[in-house]
Amino acid sequence: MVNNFLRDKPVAIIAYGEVQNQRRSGKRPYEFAAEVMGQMLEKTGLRNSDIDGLATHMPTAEAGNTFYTNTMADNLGLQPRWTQLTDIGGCSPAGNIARAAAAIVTGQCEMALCVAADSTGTTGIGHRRLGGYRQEFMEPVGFQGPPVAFGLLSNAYDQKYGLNLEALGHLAVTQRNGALVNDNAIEQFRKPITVQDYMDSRVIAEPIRLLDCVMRCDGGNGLLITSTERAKAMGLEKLVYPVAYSEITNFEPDDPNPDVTETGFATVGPDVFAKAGMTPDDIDMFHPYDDFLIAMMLQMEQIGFCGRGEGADFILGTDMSPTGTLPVNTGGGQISAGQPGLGGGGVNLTEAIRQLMGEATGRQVADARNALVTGIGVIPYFRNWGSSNCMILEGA
Amino acid sequence: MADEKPNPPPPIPSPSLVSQPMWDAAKKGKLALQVDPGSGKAQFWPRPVNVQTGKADYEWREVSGKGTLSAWTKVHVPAPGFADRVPYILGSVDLAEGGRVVAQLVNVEDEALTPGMAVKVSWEKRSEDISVYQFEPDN
Repeated sequence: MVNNFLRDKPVAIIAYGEVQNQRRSGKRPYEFAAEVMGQMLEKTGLRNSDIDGLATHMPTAEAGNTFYTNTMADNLGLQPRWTQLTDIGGCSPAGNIARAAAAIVTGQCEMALCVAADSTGTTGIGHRRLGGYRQEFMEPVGFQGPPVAFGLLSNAYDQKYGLNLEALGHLAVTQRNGALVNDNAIEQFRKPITVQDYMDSRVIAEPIRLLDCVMRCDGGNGLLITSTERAKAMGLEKLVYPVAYSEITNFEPDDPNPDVTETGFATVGPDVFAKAGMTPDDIDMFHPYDDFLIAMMLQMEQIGFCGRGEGADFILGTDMSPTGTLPVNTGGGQISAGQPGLGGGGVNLTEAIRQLMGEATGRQVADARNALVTGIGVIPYFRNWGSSNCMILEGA
Repeated sequence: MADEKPNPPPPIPSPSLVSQPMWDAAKKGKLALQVDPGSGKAQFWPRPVNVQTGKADYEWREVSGKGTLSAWTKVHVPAPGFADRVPYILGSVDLAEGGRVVAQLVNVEDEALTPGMAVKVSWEKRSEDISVYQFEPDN
């Protein structure tokens, strides 16, 4: 039997919080984290002094603050006995649930705040120091940003399987429809689009178009997690359980000429299902990390919803709306709700928790018992991406 | 336009202690890579270890600079320093001796690109000490 410390549901998510994504707020991550924590204290009746664990991620806006988590604790009036700073990009929020769960199960803390907040729209990214290959080998040859990496990846996919732009446009429209009914989606994206709008959007790095991409913005989200025993003792009824988790970083580092269409999801997808004792058919909702539309399609293929090269047919043949057979990113995903910097991995995670608590007004999936949430982190030196993770959540 | 900012020049890479031999070779118009002596596998970009072993047991070798094109993208929104080149093509090149380099493709139109096309390295001098690799068709 596969080792899975989450199998017997030792921990539960008892609340989530989220602010509306905004283009340029002038706020710092601390202000967003305070709003997110405030929402959750209100919902649960807890005080900040009840929180004894704190997990953060490294936000772009605070790049350079080598004491970020400490500064966060001070801003929020917390006195944690366990802290965690996670820097696996968009994998960090789901990764923090697993890390907090392990801390709770091993007695390092009892009530953890996992918070993701960034204000990349306000600060931009110019102040970052990424070091290594990025500054020495990518920017000097004309690497404009992630659209170049995904342009190369899309070209490789096109050579191997054929790229179907209509299918990607279909995904763009499905997600945009979610943003229309999501009050936390960025205001600029709360208008409908068509497949033709996707096709006609400005080309950034062929074949990547503007509507393939996320837009960086400001925002924050988070959750409270504690032992299931304590959650039940508190009398809380809306609980969400993480039941399986799998993560990988720097997929196949010893292959100097990798197939860029193969990603870490080929490992963590099957692994998370083995841990949960489930198959893709058992999943009620899919909330994949979406920095680019093609990344969603690759995940569908490599996690096992369909075969390699079958992603376009799967997208065109499956109703992915909230009333469909496999609802996908019902709140718009990051591409249509906005990517609050390196807190963006929490956007789809928060939507999954909201759905499982039955609070997704205007887009609630009926009888959703579980959700698969994923993360993607970091653009490496022209491989695919740096980190991949999968988490399966179950409602109470 | 009087208020238009002049385009900055393309960035000049800063060598590290590890990568210095590569840039020294580049200055002479040669491509040098770290190679695992055991398997003969080359790696790019230069790292403090041979990724096959996790030890610093790599060897620097000058390679042919020839390779094949594995993927490409025509860039319409430029990186800083590349505004006067748009649109420009970035190609992913699998080197003959192993290893993969991404660089600007020059002296070729994107319509002429094909998977597996033969290419060879050429050099763009950015400063007295730094020449940056590019690739062009190897006819």
